[in-house]
Amino acid sequence: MAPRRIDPRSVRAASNDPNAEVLRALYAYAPPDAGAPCTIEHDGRSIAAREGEPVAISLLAAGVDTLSRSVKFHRPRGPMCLRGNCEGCLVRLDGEPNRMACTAPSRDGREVRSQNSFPSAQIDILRVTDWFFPKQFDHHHLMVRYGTTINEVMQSFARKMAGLGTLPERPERAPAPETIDCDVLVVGLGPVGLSVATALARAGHSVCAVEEEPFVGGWMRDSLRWFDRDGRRVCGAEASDRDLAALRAAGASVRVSASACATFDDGTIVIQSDRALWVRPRARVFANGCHESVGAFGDNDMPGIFTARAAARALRYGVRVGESVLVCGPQEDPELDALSDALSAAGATVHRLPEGASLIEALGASSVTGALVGKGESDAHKIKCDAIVAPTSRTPAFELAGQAGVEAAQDLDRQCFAARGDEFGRTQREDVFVAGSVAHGGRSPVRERAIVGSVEAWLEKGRGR
Amino acid sequence: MSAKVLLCRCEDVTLAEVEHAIESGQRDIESLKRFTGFGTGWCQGKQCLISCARVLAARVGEFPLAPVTPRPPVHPMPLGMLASLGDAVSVDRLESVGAAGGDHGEGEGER
Repeated sequence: MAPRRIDPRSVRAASNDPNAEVLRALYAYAPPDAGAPCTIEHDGRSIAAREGEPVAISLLAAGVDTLSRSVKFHRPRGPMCLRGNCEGCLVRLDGEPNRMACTAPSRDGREVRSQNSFPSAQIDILRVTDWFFPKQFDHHHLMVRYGTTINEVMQSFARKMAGLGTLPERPERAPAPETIDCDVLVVGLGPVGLSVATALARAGHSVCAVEEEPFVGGWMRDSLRWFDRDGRRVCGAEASDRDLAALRAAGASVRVSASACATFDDGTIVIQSDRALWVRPRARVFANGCHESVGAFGDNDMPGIFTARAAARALRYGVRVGESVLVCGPQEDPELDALSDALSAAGATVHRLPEGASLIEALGASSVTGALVGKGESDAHKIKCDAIVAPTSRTPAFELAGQAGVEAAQDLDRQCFAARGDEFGRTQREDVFVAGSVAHGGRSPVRERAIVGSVEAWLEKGRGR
Repeated sequence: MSAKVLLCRCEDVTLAEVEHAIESGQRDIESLKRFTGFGTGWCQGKQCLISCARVLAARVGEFPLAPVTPRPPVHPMPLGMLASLGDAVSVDRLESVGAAGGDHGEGEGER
């Protein structure tokens, strides 16, 4: 497997290639080779990495596709979302089980081990399970017909095999939690969360703003399109940093690498790196966006299959997900167009799915070597590629707002659920507000001002009591 | 060997398994979850809930009225950290959860 690091100089040198414009601006603003070279260890093998980049990116760059094995079938898995939402990159990291390699930064001497596999994630003999159960693993009727003894043996075997990873060598000790009292908790610092949090902080409210990723900006950070800031065209990473600076200047307490995990009437539990926060706000704004899920096609879980955002993120760190990449999804989608251009500029061969065709099956034994595409069975043909940007559904992340008492309403047109809020961001709970795509609201300054107005009205009402 | 279509990656639930479950009578999203175990793994349904709801809708003719109950934690957290919250967060506070969505497995739309 060829290393996939991009030489930023070659992108800079392609100055007359219009497709390379945004990537060039991105690499000028945030050079992907800025981190000091370091070495991490993966299952006993030394891997050259850059300090600060996600471990999963370091491994991808070195051509390691398979990081883990699936829980029942032991199918090979690799990073798919690169944003802490899937199980593809779960590893044992420095003796700690079940760490997502996409959220942990590389640094010298980090030890990455595969788990749930024998002898390793690369070659796992337990893969036979996948072949033994060609369609499904029906645990309700497993071995029942062979009598109780066989069933008991199978049960005890299954129990031994179940679960993810093995216990850490040392007991965990978490530091005492921090309790934060504030006017407003804003969950999710994508473009909408940043804008709403900044306006509320500027109006003099105490704002605690949390973002689960180590940086703010959400999809904008990874986008390979232009953004306008102060009358200038900037890349998504720069736009995100400028918005963060504005939020900080407004006096908000900003927490990154801070995941809101659970919401109760009295507060919200946030975990920030290795510490828990107990946030007790007077109002909550959920601006935590969307989940992404890969469509239903054959072997859609194979290493080498990525969401568009993951492929864009890898580029941000100076890594292309493949040499030959099939980009699926609608024609003339601005994000996908920009991603395809940037992948080409980064030296990959890009194939787009032809009009009307769909991805039928990913081909390959343990990672992607091709794709079967077509308008139907009769029309199906093979495309050779070593990575697939899969068709992806983005659907509102309604769960946290749901825990806070907001109804998750069905959206029949889009076949999904969304947190139910009105155009002012108000919900059935008067102290809970929803903003942006979590409630299917797009990015609109008018709407964001309306949401800020609703939150302020509630805070004002509470003060009068 | 034929390809598998994975609807729930975390718990290895295939399209064939979900279709089999629907055929065997699990015709609402809560029952389907309980039968197949989709959404009970690492990601807690971030990836699979929608895929399974869409397959269900195609088979029974209507999209579920409400999703499965989004239970805490929505993001994996170490038990040590949960334990560390003991003094700050009392049990009676945690019982006042504003639950939304079709709870108690009574099917769609029950509150």
